[in-house]
Amino acid sequence: MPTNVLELSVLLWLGAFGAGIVGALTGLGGGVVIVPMLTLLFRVDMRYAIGMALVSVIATSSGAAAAYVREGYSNVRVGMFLEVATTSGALAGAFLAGLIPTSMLAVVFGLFLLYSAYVTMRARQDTGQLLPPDPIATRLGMNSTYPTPQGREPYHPQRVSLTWGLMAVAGLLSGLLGIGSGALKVLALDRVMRLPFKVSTTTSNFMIGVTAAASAGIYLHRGYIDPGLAMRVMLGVLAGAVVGSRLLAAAKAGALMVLLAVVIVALAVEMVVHGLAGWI
Amino acid sequence: MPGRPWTDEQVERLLGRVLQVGVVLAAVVLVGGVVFLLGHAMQAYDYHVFRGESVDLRTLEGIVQGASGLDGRDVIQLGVVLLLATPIARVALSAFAFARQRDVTYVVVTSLVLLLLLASLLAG
Repeated sequence: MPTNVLELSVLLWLGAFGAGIVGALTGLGGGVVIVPMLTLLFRVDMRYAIGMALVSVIATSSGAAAAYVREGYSNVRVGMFLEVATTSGALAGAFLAGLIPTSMLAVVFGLFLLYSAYVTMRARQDTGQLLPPDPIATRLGMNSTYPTPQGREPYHPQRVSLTWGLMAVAGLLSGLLGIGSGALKVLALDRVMRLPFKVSTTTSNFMIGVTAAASAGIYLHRGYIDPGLAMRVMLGVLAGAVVGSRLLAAAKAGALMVLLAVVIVALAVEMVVHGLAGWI
Repeated sequence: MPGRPWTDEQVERLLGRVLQVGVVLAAVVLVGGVVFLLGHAMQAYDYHVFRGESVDLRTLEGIVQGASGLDGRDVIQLGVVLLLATPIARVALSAFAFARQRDVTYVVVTSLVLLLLLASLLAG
């Protein structure tokens, strides 16, 4: 455990840098790494940790976006339409968070991490088949194309209403826990809406930033965002997100997902145990 | 296409540029704050107990006021707030872009998201 200011700064920066890389590579945001790292490793109060998770999710989202935008993957219409659900849910969740004890929050967060790992392990393989257009998605102008080695291929988003409902739940979780809930977003976009995988992760990357921003104001007013922690976390996450977004093309997705799932399971178990024991 | 001066690709590229500028600006302001802070004694390491931030670090007015007085912690907090504002800037610009595309449905959708975001910033 770090004892002096310089040691703390260097360790926090390195951890945040790693969180930025992992968050950008997976489309999950930096929060999944930042919260356990701060609470378990640095013994930071859960509320300060949640404030930093918000900062790092937005840093990952905005920091990685430039690279993903250049590639032309993310679907602005799908993202924006679903953001109505996630921002509403996030507002409700942020108000509820003040009423729930932090140890219970840690348990909820741990269980959510386990679920994220499960989802990550079961990532669907792209069949590459073009599904028939969905009437609602067509009316909302969501049908689009994405780049492949063979040029831009069309795709048709499915089951808009169900996806919208799942996004409201994702928003509630993210307001409650101060995370972008990228795992739930990627799941809904990939499994329910049946978007191509890279469209799902990049659209999720856009959405987690907006969802987090919806609860950021509330956490700022509550005093959860500490400049002393922020100055050590924000720059590290930003640098990591830029590096991660550049690495994405070369990285083997399958191996990355397995590694991430293992890390997340380990952290999730610790969070639940510490939360139940009342150490946080 | 007539009446549609901006393509989706152009909009996305512009949005990406805005985000880049916002992120760099936020980082520069934050580093500035750290520089101002270096002249003073560094705060002791104790985040185990939650005390909440003082009023000047919790409200926009307080942060801007402190930052204009070159208080290191307030300048850092201003950098954080600038970063937190980048997704909001992205949504605001999207609303403008959809208006340029004469896409009424998405002007309404995007404005609704923007309203929810602003409601959260002003509430709390």
